[in-house]
Amino acid sequence: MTQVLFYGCLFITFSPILAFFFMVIAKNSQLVILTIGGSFFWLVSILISAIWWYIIPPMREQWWFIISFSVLFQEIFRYIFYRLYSYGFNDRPSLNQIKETRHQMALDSMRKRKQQNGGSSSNEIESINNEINNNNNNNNNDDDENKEITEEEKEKIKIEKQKQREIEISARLETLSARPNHTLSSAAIGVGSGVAYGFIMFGSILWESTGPGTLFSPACPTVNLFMLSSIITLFMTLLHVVYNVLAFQGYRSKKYHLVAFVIITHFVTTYLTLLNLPTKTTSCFGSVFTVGVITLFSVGFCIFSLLKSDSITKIH
Amino acid sequence: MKIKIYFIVFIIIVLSNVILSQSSIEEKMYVSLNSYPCTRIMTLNGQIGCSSSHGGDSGILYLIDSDESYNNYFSYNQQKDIIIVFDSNYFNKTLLSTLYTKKKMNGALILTDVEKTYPYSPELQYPIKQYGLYPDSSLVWNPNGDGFTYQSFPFPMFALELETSSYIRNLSTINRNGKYPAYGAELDSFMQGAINAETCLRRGFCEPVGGQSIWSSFSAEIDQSKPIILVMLPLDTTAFFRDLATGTDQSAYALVVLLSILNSLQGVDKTKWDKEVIFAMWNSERWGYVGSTNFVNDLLNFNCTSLNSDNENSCSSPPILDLTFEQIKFENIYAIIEFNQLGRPIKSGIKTPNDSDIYNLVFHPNGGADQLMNVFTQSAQSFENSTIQFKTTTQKELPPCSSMSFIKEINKKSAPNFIGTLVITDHDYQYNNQYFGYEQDNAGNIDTTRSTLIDMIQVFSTSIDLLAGGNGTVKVDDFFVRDIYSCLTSSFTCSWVTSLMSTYPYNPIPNFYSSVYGVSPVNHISSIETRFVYKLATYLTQHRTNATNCTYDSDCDTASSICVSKVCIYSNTHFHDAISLAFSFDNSKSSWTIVNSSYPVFVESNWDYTTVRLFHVGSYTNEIWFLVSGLIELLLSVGIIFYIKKYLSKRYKLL
Amino acid sequence: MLIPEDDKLDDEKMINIARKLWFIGFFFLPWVWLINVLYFIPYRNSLNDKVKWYLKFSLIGFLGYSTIFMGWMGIYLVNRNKWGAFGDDISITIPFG
Repeated sequence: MTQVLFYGCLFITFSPILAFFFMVIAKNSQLVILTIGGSFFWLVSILISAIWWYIIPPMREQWWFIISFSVLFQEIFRYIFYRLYSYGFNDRPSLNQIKETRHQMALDSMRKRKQQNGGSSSNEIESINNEINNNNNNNNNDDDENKEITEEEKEKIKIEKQKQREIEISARLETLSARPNHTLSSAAIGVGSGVAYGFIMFGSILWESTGPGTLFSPACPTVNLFMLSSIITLFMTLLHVVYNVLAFQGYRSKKYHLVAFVIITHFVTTYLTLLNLPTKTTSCFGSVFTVGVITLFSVGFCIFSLLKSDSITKIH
Repeated sequence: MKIKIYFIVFIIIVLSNVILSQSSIEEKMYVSLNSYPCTRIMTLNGQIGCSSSHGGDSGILYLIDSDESYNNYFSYNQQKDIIIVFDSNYFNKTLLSTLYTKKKMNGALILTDVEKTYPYSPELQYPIKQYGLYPDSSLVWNPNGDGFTYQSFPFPMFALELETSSYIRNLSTINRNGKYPAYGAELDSFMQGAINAETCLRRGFCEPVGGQSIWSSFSAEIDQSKPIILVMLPLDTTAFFRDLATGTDQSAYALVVLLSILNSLQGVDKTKWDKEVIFAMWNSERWGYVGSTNFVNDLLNFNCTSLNSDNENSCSSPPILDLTFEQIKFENIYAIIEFNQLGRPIKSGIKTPNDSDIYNLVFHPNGGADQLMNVFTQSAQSFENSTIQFKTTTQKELPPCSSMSFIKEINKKSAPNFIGTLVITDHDYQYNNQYFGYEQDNAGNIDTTRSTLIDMIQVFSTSIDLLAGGNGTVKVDDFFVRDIYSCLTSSFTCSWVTSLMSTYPYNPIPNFYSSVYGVSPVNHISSIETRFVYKLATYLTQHRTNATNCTYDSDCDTASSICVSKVCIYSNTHFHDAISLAFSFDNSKSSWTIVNSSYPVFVESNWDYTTVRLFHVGSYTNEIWFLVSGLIELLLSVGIIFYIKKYLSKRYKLL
Repeated sequence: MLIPEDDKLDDEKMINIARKLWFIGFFFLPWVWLINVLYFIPYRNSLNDKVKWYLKFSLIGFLGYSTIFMGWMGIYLVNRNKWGAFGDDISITIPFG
C-alpha cells in the first residue's frame, strides 16, 4: 500500500530535475561531467559541515549554528568550483564560436582561391561547399562515386578522401574540446548539487516510506511528513539550480549583487526549514509556503537576469 | 602516512554517525511492543498455530471489545488492511473463526489487560486422548475445551503484555473516529516450517517438541534390592500463546507441592527407609506423555551398545548423556503416586475446629491402591486443624495423567511388587480448572489458602515418609513454600532463581512450555524454568558437599552436581530425555526423522525473530492524490522542457 | 573512438559473429541465441544466406530451449511440495515457509 506513497514522493521530488537532466544535460557529455563535478563538490562541502558538526559537541543540538556553517561551506565550495570551472573553461571557445570561426575560415579560403585562380571552376566551389557541409553534418556520404574513372582520378580521389578525413578528425577534436555555454554549464553544476541534495537529505526518508508506517510531525499533525519533505526537497533542488546559475553569472560578470542574492536566499530558505521542528508553536505550512514563494521568485529573477546578461546569444 | 589514517578513521566515524542518524527516522516511525507470538507447530498431517507472511503483515487497528464492534466489523469499510485488536473476552474459537471466514483480516493482537469473564479452554475436551490409557473413552474431562490451540491460522497473532494492552486499547479506540492519522501495527512472526512434520524435519526447518525430564532421589545410589515408590507429576504446561504458559493449576501448583515435599523430607531421618523414593517431573507430557513414555521405554528396552570412552556414565550409541537411570529396575516399582491439578479443590462445606474451610482432594486409584489411600487418609486425619480431606473418585478411568505411561507397561509386564497407582487431583470428574491450557491459568486461577497448601505438603510428605518406612515426623518450612510459590506462579525473578541460576530470566512470567528438544540428541535446549527446577531439586536432595571454590557447574567433577556459591553440591538428581519415540536422529543427514508415527509427532517450526511494531497510518486517498499529482508534475516538466527547448533553439543559440 | 570505425560489417565478419553465438548457445544459453537474432536486426536487409541459416536455427533453438526450461520450471514450482523428498533433493535452496 505504501508503495503508493513512495512513488508519489519520488515523482513529486525528482521529476523536474531528472527530466531536465535526461532531456538537456544527458545530451552533452561535458555537461554530464560538470553535473558529476557539481555533486562531488556539494558532497565535499556537506562532509566538511558534518566534520564541523562532529568536532564541536556542545553545538550539536544548536541547529542555527550548524545550519549557518553548512550554508557557508556550500557557498565557499561553490566559489571554489567556479574558480576551477573558469580555470578550465573560460579560455576555451564555445561550440558556437568554433562553428562560426570554422565557417568564417572556409569562406576566407574560398575567397582566397577565387582570387588566385581568377576564373574559378564551379567544381572547386562545389567541393568547398561540400567540405563545409560535411563539417557541419559530421557525416560523409561519398558513396556516389563515378564508375568510370581513370587511374589518375582514382589517385586524386584517394588524396581528397585522406584530406577530408583529416579535416573531419580535427573538427571532431575541436568539437569535443569546445565548452557548452556558461549558462547551461552552471545549470548542470546546479543540477548535480541539487540531485545530490535530494538523494542525501531525502533519500533516507524516502526509503522509510516504503514501510507500512508513516510519520507525522507535531508541527504538522495532519500532513504526512514524507509528503511535506518531498515538496520542500523539490523546492530546494530547484533552488540549487537557480543559485548556481545566478552565482556563476555573478562571479563571471562581476555582478556581485547576484551573489549576495544567492547567499541571502540560501540562508533564508534553510532557516525556514527550521519551522518544521517539533515545537508545536511553529507550523509547517509557514515553511512550505514561504519556501515555495521564494523558489518561484528566484526562478523568475534568474530568467530575468539571464535575459539581461550576455551569456546567451540571440539569433537575429 | 599516520595523518592519512587518522583522517580515514575520522571520516568513517563521521559517516557512521550519518548512517546512525538515518535509522533514527525508523525509530521515530515505529514503536516496538513487548509481545508474545502465536507460533507454528507441525503435526503428522498438517500444521497448527500461526505464521505471518515473510516480512510481516500490517494494517490499521480495529478494536473488538463489544458485540456491537464485533458486528460492525463485517460492514466496516476501510481501504487499508486491518489488524484486529481483541479484547480477551472476544478471543475464542467461535468468534475468530466466523470473523476470518467471513472477512479478510491481516492479523490479530490480543489484549491481556482485562481477564475473560467466562470459563474457556483452548485445549481439547479430553486432552491427548489417543496417547493415553483409554483412547476410546467417551469422558469429557475438560468441558470448556474447544481445541483452539490445535487449529491453523493463515495470519499472525500476538498477545500483548499488561501495560501495552491498555495503551493499544486506547489507540484503537481513537481509531474509531475514522480520522487520519490513524494507528496501525505490523506483526512479524514468520515461521520457516510448512506443510507437515515430515517435510519440515527433512528440510531442517523444525525441531521436535520435547525437553528434559527430571528425576531425583535422596539416596546417593539406588539400592536395587529395595522396592521403589515413584512420586511424580507432569512438569510442562500449555497455552494458546506458549510464552504465557504459566499453567498454575495445570502443573505449577503441584510442582510447588512436590518441591516443598523435597524440602520437608530433606530434614527427615532416612536411615529407616526400607524403600527407595524417586521423585520425577516429566517434561513434554502435554504433547502425548512424551517424558514418561520415554523413561518407561528406556527402563525396559534401553541397551547401550558402546559406552562413552571419556565418561563411564554416558552412552555414545544410542546417545544418552546420563546412564544413572539404569539403577532403577522396572520390576522394583512398588507404588506410583502422582500429583496432578491440585490448585482448585472444592470446599467440602465442613469446617475445622478453628473455623477454616476444609477442601476436598480426590483420589484416582488404579490397580488397587487401597494401601496408599489408607496411608494418605490416615495422615490427613492425624493432623488437628488439617484443612484437607480425601475423597475417592466416582470415575472408573484415570484422568489424563503421566501414570498412564507406566500403567500401560505394568499391564503388559507383571511387576511383582506393584501395589497400585494413586493420582491425586482437585477434581472428581470434570476439571475444576476453568482455564485449562489457557494463559489465564496463572496465580489468579488458584482457589486455596496458603494454609491449605501447607497442609497438603504436610500430609503428602508425612504419607510418603510413612510409605517409605519412616516414622512420619515431618516439618514443613513455611518460608520456603511461600518463596517458591510466588516464584513459580507469579514472578520468576525471585531470590531462589538469582541464587541458583547464573543467567537471569528474560521473561519474568514463569513459563513451563516444554519447548523444543534440541538440534540433536547431544545438543539439548532446555528452558530456564526446567534448569531451575533441576538445580533446586539437586539442592534439596543433596547428600554431599565439597567446598572447591567453583564458579560453574562444570567445575564440579560429576555430571549431576551443581555449583552454588562456590560449593559443589552432589545429589542423585538427573535429567532424562523427553523426546517422543516417534523420532530418531539420522546421523548421516544430521536431522531428525520420523520412524514410528504411532507415537506423538509434534515438531515446532524455527523462526528468526518476532516483532510487533506500532506506527501511524496516513489517509489512503491522500496518498493516491499525491501519486497522481506527482505523475502530472512529471508530464508537465517533460512537456515544458520539451517546449522550451524547441522555442529557445529558434530564438537563442543553445550549447 | 575518435577515428570512425567502419560502420559496415562485411559478410565474413557477420558469418563469424553469427556462428560463434550459435555455438555458444548450445551450452544451455538460449538467451545468447536470442541476442544473436536481435544483433542482426539492423542489418536485416543485407544478410547473406549463410548468416540467415545460423539466425534461423538460433531462433528455433531459443524458442525450443525456452519452452523446455519454462515448462520444467512450471512443473517444478507446482509439484515441488508434492514430490516430497525428491522435490527437496533436486532443489538447490529450499525457501522458508
